[in-house]
Amino acid sequence: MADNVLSLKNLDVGFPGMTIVHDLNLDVADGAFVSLLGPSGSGKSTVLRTVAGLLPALGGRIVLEGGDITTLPPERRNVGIVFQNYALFPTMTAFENIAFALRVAKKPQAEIERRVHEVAAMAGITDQLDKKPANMSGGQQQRVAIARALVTGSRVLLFDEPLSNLDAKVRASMRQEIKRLQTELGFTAIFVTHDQEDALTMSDVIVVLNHGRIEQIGDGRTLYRKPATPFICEFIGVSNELAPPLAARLLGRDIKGRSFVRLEDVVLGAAEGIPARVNHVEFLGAYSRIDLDVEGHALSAMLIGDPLPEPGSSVSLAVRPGAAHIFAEATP
Amino acid sequence: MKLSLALASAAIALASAFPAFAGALTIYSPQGGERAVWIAEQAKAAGHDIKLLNAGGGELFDRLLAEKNNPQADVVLGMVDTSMALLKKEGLFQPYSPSWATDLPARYKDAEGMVHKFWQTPIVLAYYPDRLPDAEAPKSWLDLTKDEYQGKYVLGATAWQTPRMYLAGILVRFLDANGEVSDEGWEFLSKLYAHAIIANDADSYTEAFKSGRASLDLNWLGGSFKLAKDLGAKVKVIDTEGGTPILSEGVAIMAATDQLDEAKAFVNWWGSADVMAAYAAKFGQVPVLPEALAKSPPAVQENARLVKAQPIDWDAIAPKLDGWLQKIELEIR
Amino acid sequence: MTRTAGFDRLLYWFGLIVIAWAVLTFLLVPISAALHAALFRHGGLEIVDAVAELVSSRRVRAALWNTAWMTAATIVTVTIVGMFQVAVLEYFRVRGSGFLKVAFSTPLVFGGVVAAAGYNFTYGPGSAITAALTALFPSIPRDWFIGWFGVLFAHTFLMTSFHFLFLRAAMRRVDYSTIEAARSMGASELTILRRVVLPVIMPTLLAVTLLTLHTVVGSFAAPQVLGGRDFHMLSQMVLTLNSLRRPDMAALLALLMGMVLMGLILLSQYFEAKGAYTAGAKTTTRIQLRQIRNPLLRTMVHALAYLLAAIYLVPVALIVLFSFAPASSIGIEMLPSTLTLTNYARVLGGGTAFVPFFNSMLMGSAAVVVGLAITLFAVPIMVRKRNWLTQALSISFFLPWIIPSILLAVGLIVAFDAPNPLVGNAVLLGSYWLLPIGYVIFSLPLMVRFMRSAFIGIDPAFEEAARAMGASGPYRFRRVVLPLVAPTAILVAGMKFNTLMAEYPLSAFLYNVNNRPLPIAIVEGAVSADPDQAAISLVYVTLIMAFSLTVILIAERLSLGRTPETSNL
Ligand SMILES: Nc1ncnc2c1ncn2[C@@H]1O[C@H](COP(=O)(O)OP(=O)(O)O)[C@@H](O)[C@H]1O
Ligand SMILES: [Mg+2]
Repeated sequence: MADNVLSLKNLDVGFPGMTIVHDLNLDVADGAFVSLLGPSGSGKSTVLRTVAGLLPALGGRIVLEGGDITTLPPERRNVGIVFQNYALFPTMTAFENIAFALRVAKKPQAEIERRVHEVAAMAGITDQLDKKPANMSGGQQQRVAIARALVTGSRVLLFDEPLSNLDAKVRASMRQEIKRLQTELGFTAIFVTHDQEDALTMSDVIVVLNHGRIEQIGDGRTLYRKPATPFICEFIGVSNELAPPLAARLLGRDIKGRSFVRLEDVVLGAAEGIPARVNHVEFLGAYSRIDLDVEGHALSAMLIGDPLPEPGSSVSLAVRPGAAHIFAEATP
Repeated sequence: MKLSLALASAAIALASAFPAFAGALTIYSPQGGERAVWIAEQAKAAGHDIKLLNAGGGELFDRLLAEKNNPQADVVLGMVDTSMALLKKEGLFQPYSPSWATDLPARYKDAEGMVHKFWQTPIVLAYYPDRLPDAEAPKSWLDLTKDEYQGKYVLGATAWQTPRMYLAGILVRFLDANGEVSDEGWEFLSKLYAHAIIANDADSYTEAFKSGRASLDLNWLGGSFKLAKDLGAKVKVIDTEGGTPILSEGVAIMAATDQLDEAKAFVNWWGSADVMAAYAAKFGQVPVLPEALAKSPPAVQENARLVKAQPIDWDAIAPKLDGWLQKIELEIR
Repeated sequence: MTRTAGFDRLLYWFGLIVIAWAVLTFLLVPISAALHAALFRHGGLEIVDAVAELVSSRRVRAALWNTAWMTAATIVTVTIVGMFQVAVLEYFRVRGSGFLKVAFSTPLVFGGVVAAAGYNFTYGPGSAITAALTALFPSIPRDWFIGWFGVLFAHTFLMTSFHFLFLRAAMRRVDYSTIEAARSMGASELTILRRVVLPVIMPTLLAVTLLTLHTVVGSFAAPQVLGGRDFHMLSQMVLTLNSLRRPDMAALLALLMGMVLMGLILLSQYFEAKGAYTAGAKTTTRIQLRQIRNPLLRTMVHALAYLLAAIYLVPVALIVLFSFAPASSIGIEMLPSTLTLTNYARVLGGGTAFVPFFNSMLMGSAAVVVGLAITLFAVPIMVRKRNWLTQALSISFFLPWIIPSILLAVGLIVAFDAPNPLVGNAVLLGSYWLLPIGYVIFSLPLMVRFMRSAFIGIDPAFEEAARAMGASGPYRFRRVVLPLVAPTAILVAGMKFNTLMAEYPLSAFLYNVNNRPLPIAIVEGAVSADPDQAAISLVYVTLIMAFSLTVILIAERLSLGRTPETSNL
């Protein structure tokens, strides 16, 4: 318990008269990178803003570094926030942006200079300090935003979808950048995203939110390999949901509930398989996606390397033993 | 930001507590431009500390009425008979008999001893002989609607003093037994407007003459001379059949003045024969004080005999004028 | 924390109370006083009679009809010219666009009576252009420009400021990638403009059109100076009726106009709300200027753009030029043969000619500062908290826009011509302060309109970020919000200052001996046949234009290259 820097205990968040997320419990270890993953509208931002103190908690407690901060005003919580689009003040230079919180706290000028330069050096933007945000690249803006969040000595940084407006290439390099800064500077990150790749690539722990509740908490592998709910199974990775007759045929027993098989767990050309017809082959570079017809049911598989089956040809098909995810009760 | 707001409201509160700016004697007068400058200079030279507020006659009248509960003026100077009469009726003036009033002919004084007239101003019909041969000039105001004068005269805005007066001078000729303007009168006026060049501002008034279109000037005497001088042309005033409307301008001290002594001193100075004569020499205005007229240049004395007056009872007309002007503005123009 | 927060709350409430008091005292009471005085003038309601008189008046009917068709015609021509400007400045690559921009910005500082007089000076019967025209074609009458044509012409080129300010900003927000996408799909230039660009700028275009509509309906100076005897509009009629001592008829006509205008304002707020909804904070590719391929078309666009610039600049240039001319050459010479600084020396030398200039500078700046203070305090509250109270406040602020200023002046006079308990039983009429107060009221609608858009356009994340870093409300306002809206504030201050320098109706009614303002001096100069007066008026106008243009260019500089949201409409 002692190495938990942040704990949410039975936290209810939302707006007066409308609870968005109920009874949230989460422990975040010091220096961890935790992602809050969920589809848009699932309440991620609301949770983040409550932790930051921008929204009052409707119930429960928030504990930071052993102290209860549930009712503290934002500036006394010692958490930093990096906003979507960074929310850098366009009228101020990078220096003034970073110095903002220190000026608010009426720190002496010498200390402000020292701390801004310190954090700017760590973020690698010392030579950008005189520029205004409009004259910086996206990467530089991101570093300024992180430096601004860190300058008051916050150990916990909250990120609200900072990458959501970026194209795939830039996004990848920004991810690495955030991750690098996080490991180098050692802060704890709570990272809100709707993008599973963001979560899988950066996080130590992923918290999946759906319809106002936590679906599952775990590292990327766990979520992928052992999804706790059908939602996770569909939301993370690409899966086939097997219709009950097909499931019975493929898995060799009757299934009560819903069953899923990931694309890469469908084995083609198996010795003891079921015959299937190839409908369509999609070449995607490193791997290819094969759409099949199995006794009237659609199923997709993934193949790495050559040779690829011809559309219209027949193949024999099986499921990798133990790879099916079976959920006895359909969870809402 | 809030500070400036607080300061501003504090300043407003403070200022409204001391609404009157003491000091100079405030005089409301329609005499503007170079005339105002002359008056201010001469008054200062004579030791009067005055501040002039100039505006059109109608505007000044409205302003004086509006300020009834917080009068700003100490003296009203140079407004015409009708306006002075109505202002007096509102109780704005106080009686005072200036030093020069004794020699003033009775018709330039009122019964209450509040308003004293010092000038007379004929509203004349004049023509430019180089544009219109003497023989072709109109003989009367009523000749203006003849076809030969179409497009040759300019009617100014009804908001101006002068047009109001000659329009009244024309309409009184058409009063029926009930004291109302007859249909014939309105028909005449419609035709007068239909044939006229219309000017809404001084520029277009002057422009009509500059361009050579207009050859007849319906103007107050001094204005007519000034226009001719600006145009560098000769103008002749017509002594019309039926007479010419003649106004006279007066001076009065406001009932609410807080500088009564200064006001009295100023009025005494203003109406005195020497000042009137000097003004006459400078601007050609005809004084009504016999001694002042005697001291005026010969040309001014001649102007005093230029036209014979149209008999008009201004006090009777004053209350009707607004209705007439409304009809002109809304129906006829 | 609690101590300063408590103090802030105190200030906040104090500010609210002051504004409520000011709105009640200087807006609601005077306006209702004016309406009451007008409609119950003989102790009873005589609306029926007044309406009958209005309806039976030939000239009132003509004014109604003229206003209606002139409004329609002006909207069409202004939209064409305004869109062309935006296309030339922000869409096509046109040489010398910096120069064109300055030319097209002149309506911001050249409006009202001053501009109408300038057009008369340039195209009127006594102008050089008319002299040249009549020399070439003797059949053309000297007053060819006077009448509906001159009014429409002046409207067309003087009412493009809203397009210049807001439509340009909207154009800059168009995502260039959508244009490229359309082009890649083979769309022609025209199709791209019509199908891709136009829909994006449409909400702004509608808002701008409504603002322009509002300006045309209330147009006074252009028909007054250029309309001649045969063309007059409603606001002239209101003025005439008032000067005929029929404030009841004036008020009724004003109310009719007011209702139309109020409808327009409500409509524009509706579109504003819609516009804010569609304009998300997404990153877009900045629009790149398009080269016109067709050489014939390119030449034509250039020729038109420069012709337009000439139309804008010639009246201004003539005024500036003649302000340096000897007084005797004004109205006599077509172009001054000699130049002199005497006129400027007379105005700036501190003599009598300087006094109205000084008075107006003082009252104008004070009014703009107070107006801005009120706006900057009230608008954020109105934008953030939407309830009946703030809604009422917002409508109150717009009242001076729909009430003709004459009626407002009459209201102020009626309300403060006797001791009034709302101002500590003082009689404000006749005091120095009534005119500056009138100026503030008169300035509020446009300020509120512009600042509303500016505040709505601010990304809430900025405030949230500042809040998260511990900034208190006032600190956030001062350090984060204020710099963001500063360009708009400076712009609107410059524009409003400019209008105040030439505002006639309020000035004429409310000035006193100690604060005779510039508009009065300018009009007297125009009325007086004294050429020296005319020369001095030209100097006044030149100085005002130079000053306001500087302010506005500073605002443009400040907002350059950042947060187009602040010029959102
Ligand atoms: N100010 C608000 N008042 C009421 N409901 C809101 C407000 N802001 C967001 N919501 C609702 O709260 C839910 C969660 O929103 P949010 O936390 O922003 O989702 P996410 O960040 O996961 O996309 C959404 O259904 C949204 O409609
Ligand atoms: Mg969100």
